[in-house]
Amino acid sequence: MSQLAIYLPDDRSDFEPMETISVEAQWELDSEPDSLQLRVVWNTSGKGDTNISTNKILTIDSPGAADSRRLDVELPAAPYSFSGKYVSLIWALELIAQPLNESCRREITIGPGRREVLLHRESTDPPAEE
Amino acid sequence: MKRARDNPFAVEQVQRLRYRFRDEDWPSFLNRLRSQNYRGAIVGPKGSGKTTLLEELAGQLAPLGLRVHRLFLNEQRRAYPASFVRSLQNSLGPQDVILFDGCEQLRPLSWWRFRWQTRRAGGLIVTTHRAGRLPTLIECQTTRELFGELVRRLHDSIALSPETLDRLFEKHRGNLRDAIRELYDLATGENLEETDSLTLRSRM
Repeated sequence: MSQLAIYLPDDRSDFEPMETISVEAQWELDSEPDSLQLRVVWNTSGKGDTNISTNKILTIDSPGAADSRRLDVELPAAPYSFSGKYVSLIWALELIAQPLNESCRREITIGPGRREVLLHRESTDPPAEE
Repeated sequence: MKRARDNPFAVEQVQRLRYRFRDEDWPSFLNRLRSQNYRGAIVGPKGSGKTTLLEELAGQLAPLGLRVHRLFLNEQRRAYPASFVRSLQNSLGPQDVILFDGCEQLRPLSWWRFRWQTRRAGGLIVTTHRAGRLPTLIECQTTRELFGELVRRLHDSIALSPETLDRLFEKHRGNLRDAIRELYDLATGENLEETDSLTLRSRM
């Protein structure tokens, strides 16, 4: 069975904008792909239609059926990861074997202080009684 | 408040729901479609699964060697699809199937113009709210039971009281898309009175 994996530095998943990170891509595939692509992508999630965008693509040509590779990736400056009531913007790294259509995905957070920007106030208090 | 990305009723979750046939399956449906020369209408009210079925049909037709062309009109976008027709008109052949979502948006004269201009296509399958434009392939209907089943599929740890489920089904007249959109709002946790009837148990 084919397997693809993305390993992040110190197993972190939250990063500063424009931070350069060392990503390890591992793959063990049933057949040899033409290439592997590591993509930096974002998508929206929520009540409305979903938007998607690819920020960066790093290509590994003739990667062989099984191996691993370390890639330096400079993360984008914007947009920040954010969440509100109706929409979230989610960054992710995707490793895709072409043309086999095998892939894996690892969601990450990009924002100041390595935090997702929240568009609403987090409350842990119970609602006030009227 | 629940973040949009954590809402079990977010659009991308809903879009993963598969169409559920009432009394047939894909092989049977595809056989009927073939016997009707890939011409027919998927008929049903708003939010009854017509678009979902059409989307899945596209995935079923492509492996049969058919070239699928999709056209989508709705109340906000109902002008005659001149550029769509222009781009295809001279290349259509027996292997081409047009999937036309929302054909009732075209007035009768425009509809006949469309049919004439795309007559060389091997198939034309439409969705529409009312029967009549092409022979009916299937009528999409919703039930309370289907609504409850879809809600459970969206989040296995949601307990929705039967009364709330009935109320939403009635309020939206069986339009499951709109009913699930209201569940999205309830799941944000802002409307606390309503949320009392919607119990979201956190996954451990």
